[in-house]
Amino acid sequence: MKNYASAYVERWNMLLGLVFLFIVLVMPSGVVPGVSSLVAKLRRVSR
Amino acid sequence: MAAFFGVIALRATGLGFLMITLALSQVLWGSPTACPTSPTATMGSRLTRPAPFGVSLDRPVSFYWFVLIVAVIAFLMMTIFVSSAFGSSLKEYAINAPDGRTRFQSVADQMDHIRLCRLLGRRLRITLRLLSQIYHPTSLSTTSSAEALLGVIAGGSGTLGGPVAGAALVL
Repeated sequence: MKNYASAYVERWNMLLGLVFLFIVLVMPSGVVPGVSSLVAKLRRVSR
Repeated sequence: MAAFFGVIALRATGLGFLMITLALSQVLWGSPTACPTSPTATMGSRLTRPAPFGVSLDRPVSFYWFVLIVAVIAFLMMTIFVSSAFGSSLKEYAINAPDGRTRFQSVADQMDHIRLCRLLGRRLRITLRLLSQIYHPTSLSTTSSAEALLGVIAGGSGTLGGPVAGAALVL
């Protein structure tokens, strides 16, 4: 994000803050455990 | 130094562990700058990229592949360590520790863990220094350390893929 978003958005820190807010609220244990549990839930639903 | 810092850091778990590693990196950052006679502290020192097997790493593409290979090897080493019987026993013990703290069965176990972390840390630190081609304490500054810490927290601490995902997100 620092390398790519800062090229397009001047206030990229704000974007970083919003991303962190999203992670803390939706996936408090982090992206990888959050995505893993989401995939597991989707698999359970599809069965 | 790694053994000393490792013994301190392993007293904590979770966010406490991450905060202690940040604090220790600040101690390391402050040590050379507190020594005014050291030229490395103020000016830094220039590094030249090596040419392994005759391939010059001065070209950005060559250096990219070099960094990728080092990162993949480090990741594989950590995966093998974690999935080994020794790594599994460490994980089980950390989860089921009576007082909730990460305490390994013996000093020998602790030292093996610290040795691996020191080895990987040294390899990756050398790679980072080769990127900027300068050895300077600012690579351990609060901003750099906080970025690394945020990456680990965002990706998911306690997982192998978490810091990779966090680094891709933050950096």
